[in-house]
Amino acid sequence: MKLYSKFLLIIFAVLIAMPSITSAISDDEAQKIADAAPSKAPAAPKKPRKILIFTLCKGFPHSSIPYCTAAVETLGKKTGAFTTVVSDDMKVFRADSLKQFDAVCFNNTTKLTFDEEPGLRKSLMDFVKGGKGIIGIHAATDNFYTWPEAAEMIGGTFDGHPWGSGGTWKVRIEDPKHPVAASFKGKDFKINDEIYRTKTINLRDNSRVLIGLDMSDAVNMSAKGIRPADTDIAIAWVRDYGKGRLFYSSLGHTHHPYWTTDILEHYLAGIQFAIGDLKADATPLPFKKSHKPVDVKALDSLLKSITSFAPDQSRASLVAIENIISNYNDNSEELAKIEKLMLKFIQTDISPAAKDFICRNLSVIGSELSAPVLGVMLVEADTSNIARFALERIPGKAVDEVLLMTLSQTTGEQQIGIVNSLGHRKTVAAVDQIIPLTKSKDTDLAIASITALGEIASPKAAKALAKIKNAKGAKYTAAMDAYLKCGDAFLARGNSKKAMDVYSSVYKSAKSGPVKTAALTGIVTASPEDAIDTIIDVLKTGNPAMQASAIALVRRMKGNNEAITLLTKQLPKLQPASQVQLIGALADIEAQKAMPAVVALTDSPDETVKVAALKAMSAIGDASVVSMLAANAADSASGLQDTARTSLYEIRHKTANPRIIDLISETNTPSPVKVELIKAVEKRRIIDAVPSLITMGGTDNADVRIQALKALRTVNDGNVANILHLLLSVSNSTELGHAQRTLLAVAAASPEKSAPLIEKSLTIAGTKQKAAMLGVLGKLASDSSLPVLRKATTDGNDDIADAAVRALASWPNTTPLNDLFEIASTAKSDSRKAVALRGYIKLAALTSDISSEKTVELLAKALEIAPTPNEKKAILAVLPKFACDAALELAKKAAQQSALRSEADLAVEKIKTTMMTVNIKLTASRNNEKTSNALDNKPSTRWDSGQTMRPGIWVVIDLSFAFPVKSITLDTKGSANDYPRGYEVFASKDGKNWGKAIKKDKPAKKPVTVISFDEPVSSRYFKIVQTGSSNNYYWSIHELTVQEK
Amino acid sequence: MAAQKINRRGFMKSAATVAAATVGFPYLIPSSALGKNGTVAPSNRIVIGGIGVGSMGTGDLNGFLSHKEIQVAAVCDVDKIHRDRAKGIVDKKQRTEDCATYLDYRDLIARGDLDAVFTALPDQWHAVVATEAARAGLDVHGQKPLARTIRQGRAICDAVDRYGVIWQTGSQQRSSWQFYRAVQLVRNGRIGKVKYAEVGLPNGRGSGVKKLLDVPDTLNWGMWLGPAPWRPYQDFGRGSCHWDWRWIMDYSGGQLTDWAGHHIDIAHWGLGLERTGPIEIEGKGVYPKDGLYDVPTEYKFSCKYKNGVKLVVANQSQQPRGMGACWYGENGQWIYVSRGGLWASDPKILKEVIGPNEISVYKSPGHKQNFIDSIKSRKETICPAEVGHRSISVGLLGEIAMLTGRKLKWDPDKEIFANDAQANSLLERPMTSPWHI
Repeated sequence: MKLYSKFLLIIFAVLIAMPSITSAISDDEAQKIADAAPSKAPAAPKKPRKILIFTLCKGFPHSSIPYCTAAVETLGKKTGAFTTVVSDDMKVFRADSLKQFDAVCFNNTTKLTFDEEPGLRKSLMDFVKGGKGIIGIHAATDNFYTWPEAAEMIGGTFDGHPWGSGGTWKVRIEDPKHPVAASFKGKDFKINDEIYRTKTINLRDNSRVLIGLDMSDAVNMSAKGIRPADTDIAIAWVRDYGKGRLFYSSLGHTHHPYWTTDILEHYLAGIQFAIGDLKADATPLPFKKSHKPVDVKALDSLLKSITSFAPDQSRASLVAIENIISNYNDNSEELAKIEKLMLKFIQTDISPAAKDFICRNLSVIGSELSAPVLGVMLVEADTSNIARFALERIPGKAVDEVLLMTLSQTTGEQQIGIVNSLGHRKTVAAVDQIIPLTKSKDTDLAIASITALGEIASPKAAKALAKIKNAKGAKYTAAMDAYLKCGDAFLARGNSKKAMDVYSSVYKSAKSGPVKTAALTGIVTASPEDAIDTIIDVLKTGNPAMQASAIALVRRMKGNNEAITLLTKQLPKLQPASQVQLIGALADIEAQKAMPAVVALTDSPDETVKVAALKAMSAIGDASVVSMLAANAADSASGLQDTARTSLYEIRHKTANPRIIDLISETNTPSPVKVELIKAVEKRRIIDAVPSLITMGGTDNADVRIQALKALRTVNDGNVANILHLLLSVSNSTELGHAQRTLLAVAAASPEKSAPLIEKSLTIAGTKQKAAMLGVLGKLASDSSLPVLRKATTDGNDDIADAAVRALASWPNTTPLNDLFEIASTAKSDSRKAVALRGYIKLAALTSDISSEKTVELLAKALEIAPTPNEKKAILAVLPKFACDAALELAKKAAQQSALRSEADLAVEKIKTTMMTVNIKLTASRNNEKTSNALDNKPSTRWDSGQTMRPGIWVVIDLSFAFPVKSITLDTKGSANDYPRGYEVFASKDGKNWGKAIKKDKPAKKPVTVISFDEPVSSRYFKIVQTGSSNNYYWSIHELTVQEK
Repeated sequence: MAAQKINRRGFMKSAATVAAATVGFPYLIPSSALGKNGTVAPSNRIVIGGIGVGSMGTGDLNGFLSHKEIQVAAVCDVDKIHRDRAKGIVDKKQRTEDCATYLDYRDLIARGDLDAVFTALPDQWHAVVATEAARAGLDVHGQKPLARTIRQGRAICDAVDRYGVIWQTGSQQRSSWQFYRAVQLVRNGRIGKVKYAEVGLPNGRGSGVKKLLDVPDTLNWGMWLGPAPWRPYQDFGRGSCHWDWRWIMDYSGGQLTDWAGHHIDIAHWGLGLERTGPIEIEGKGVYPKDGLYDVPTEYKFSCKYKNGVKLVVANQSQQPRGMGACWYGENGQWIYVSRGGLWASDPKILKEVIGPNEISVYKSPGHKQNFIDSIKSRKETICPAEVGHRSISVGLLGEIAMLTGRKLKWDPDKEIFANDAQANSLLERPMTSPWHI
């Protein structure tokens, strides 16, 4: 209890301290607010109301905060609608404190998280859901990035403001009669303010948007940083949330809104809505591009301007008309107005291309209103097709009726077109009129009519089509196609018996292979169980082509065991080509029941059948085929090794792995087969096979031993002792090499644990094995091995000492650097000295460990002790990798020795070049953070201007020091159209004073732009300014390279 | 203008008579016997015809001619120059003078001796020709995109299914190693569960006003237009109608629908969504304000799928990685593939081994070889009609979402939009008479 009261005290202390914030406002400004504020609230408070004005900014603090506070305070005082308390302390949101308020006003708060202490989030949510209100002004959406529930409640999160406070922006009233927007009296207005783009979260589904940016306004559309997706920019909205309410308005970045009466009235109504005193509809409204009625006059004159339009003229007016349509595409009332204007226009004397344009638009926005006018055009030869283009898409009975009426008034292509459209529209009422046309002597009309009946596919259409079975040629093909479609329609309507009747009758009477196949497809679809008899029948008696069709349909019989049994019985009797197809189909449906029959065909005299049967094993084989596949894989005379191997590696059945392991261990498995099985272990990653592999590593056949050692590199259980054991038993140098690599692979998984084991075993190893083990220790690089290796370098046995030196030389970090230097200086044999020196150079060159300067120091030491010019040259060869001033010095010094001059000069050149490339820096006027993409040697990444090309976008190259540059290459191959349309190049010694352009050009339209200078330009800074324009393309640089003299 | 119109009915007549004479099995009768020295005995060759042998069709023609199992018996084009050039290529390669030439594809199909056709036509023609070929029982290699509209694409799928013919869409990236490998890794969870993917396709471009031209003597303009609305002959960009038709909505959806069959196809494959479609589509296109071309120059739309996956398709300037397909796993890992190569957030991912019990992704030995193999085995190709249809459907759905300017709800099973008659009407483009599917 004590604690509780203490908290309350703190809260109240905070609350009292706050009002000082308004002191930033001048008396003058305060007076303006007081004058502008309404004296009467739109609703009478149901009881005394108290609002919390919260002003904490964890991000950007707006200068408008005190103005907003003063405005809300004034609105409350002047109208008596509410009282206010100001705070910026999160503790105010504790449930016991919050409950005193009717609403919280987030006054330009930023980056709030509500995670300062547990319970704050729940407290605010309970507050709103329980019936209280939230008011958000301007930056109130710049919060809750880590609290999705609250972000969703307020409508979304801040996503930039292309419409900045320096501009004046056109605002549209979406819901003029809404009480919270009523102060604007339905009049769009322009305001100097900063308008937020919100990354909305279900805003249009949850909230009623009242005002937004007018995106038909050219100034709004040309704001810097606008995106193509910026169409719906909501400014203020209300919503219901649980039992509570929310009001948000993004107006109020600048100060003057707070002394503008209609905005203050807008705020006040919103606050009263949030409190619950002002009743207002919060039902969400869909976004509408345009909220004003169509400007009929403007549209009419645009239409008149295209009266004589022809395809070789400008389409600007057509596009303008289409833009108007697209503005009203979500507004059927206004679309109807546009439709009427278009219908009136199309009946005047206009060009064919203008008619074409109108019909295309009517096809999208037209209604039944268009039917009579288009109907007239339908019977005219010149306009029939384009009128139908519109009519075919327009829904409604009136259109069907016009099509039906004109059907008898037309002939030839016009009539065919109408039949086609009726078919597309699936106009059942047309069937009676179309049926007689199927008998037309005009084959085209007959076929079109048949096709239309198939599309309509009513029972009556089906009946008519059934009678066309005796037709010939194309008419027959079309009729059967249409009739089978009727079968599909019966099936879709759930009448599988009728469907089956259609398919069976076509199958029985089929006069061509394709028709028979199509009917069989229908039978399989309608009744897979019944279809199998037909398929078997085809396999017994059909010709190869029909068999191919039937076999392909087997793929639809997955899991039908009865069918698979029957099919399998036929398999041996088929021709080889059909056998290949059936085996493939059975494999595709994983018909394991077919395995024995397919296995039998691995002995087929026909090569293609053999291959197919072996391939099928991966899908349908199990343990029983492992031995057969391995034997085939081992048989180099069969020509089927690769096929068998692939299947062996891919058998999916779970019994395959145990069988592979068993066969490896069986004594009577021939060695070549064992080798194949071990390969399979590796490919299949069979971890259970590790004991067998260990055993095989010690078996008496060398091929098997080596294969087992190889497999153990990828398939092992990490047991180093087992591998060591194998290594110690090997003496043949080839095998020792294999064992060494295997030991390394296994030990590398945990070097710190493995190394001591190996070290311990050194004492029991022979010379060769010991040398191999030292090699492994060198690569494992465990600290424990260093003393062991150091000692071994002085071993009396030269082989062992050499191996130890090699091991140190292969160390992956610089730890043994001094050891190697010592050996390189003092070893008794030249060859050992050489090994040590090379190791020393290699370690010195490990750039990840140390700086270039340090490396050069080490290399300088090596240069001193290197015994021969050849060794010295080797050092000079690596020097350019560590380009720095010290390297340059060292190389220049070396160049004074005549024996080294040519190598040293080369090193000097390379160091200079490298220094330049490595140190190139690029800055850009736009998207500066992406410039590294142009220097990363990855052609797939790029720097781009982030906006279409305009004059003035620049990049600056800093070469670190002045260098003679012959040319600069801009590679844009990855975005072929993004080459600069024009450029100017400037050079500078200091990056500040640029002087006159040293080169100006309009490059060829090629993705690679080479800017070359007549004479090399020696300068540290180069600036490339893009001088051309493109409406569609960014300027991009995927790779920038600088070429030296 | 009217004088330039062609009476298309003449072609219909001639086709009907020829077709009437042919009833039978145009199927390949396969046999396994190989000729000596690796050649293929003439009786075992696959006999094909080419419909549309302009630039893309000539590419395909050369591709097929390099396979010894293939014999090209006929070529067809509405431009005599293309037709004769293609015949020259075929005859030179096959050392005969037998390659037949056709103006009307129906005459080629009606020969009755073909096993398969390959088509490379303006998009408005795809469905009409493909369904006719399927009805004749011919296997088809059809250039992407599958069709100009979703309804036409569905008609192709239905015909291919009904007549049991082999179909391969020319989405040849599927047969390249890096795309296969990317898909194999993504499908097998090497970047974790994928929630988001992005596809970058080429930027579009506008044009100026173009001149009307006299129809060249060598070109049958009416047949070139076919089912598309009538338009007088015009310079589309390089002095003729060839190639630059792709920027006019009557014939194509522009770069978006041209490339949907590549990178959207690959993205779908990796997502395992290649036989379904999105449930929500929303986006915005920028259309030229003037000039002949009317397809979007910039486009960006997002698709949501039933399983929560989001796919964003845009022209390359609006995608962070430019051209290609990129999948993002739940833990920030990613795999990105384009014609330039294959990349991953961690290069180690690219070395991962895929075991026998993991998802096995269809592997093609080469795109045309895969088609040839399937003609023999009757097994689906690496890009069957349904898959090609679902790939282009994403592009076409994006096109409709951008044209209507609305968020659209799509039922990928029934292939209709929910509560949007206008959007539904855009699923089909009415055909000029007498053409129909």
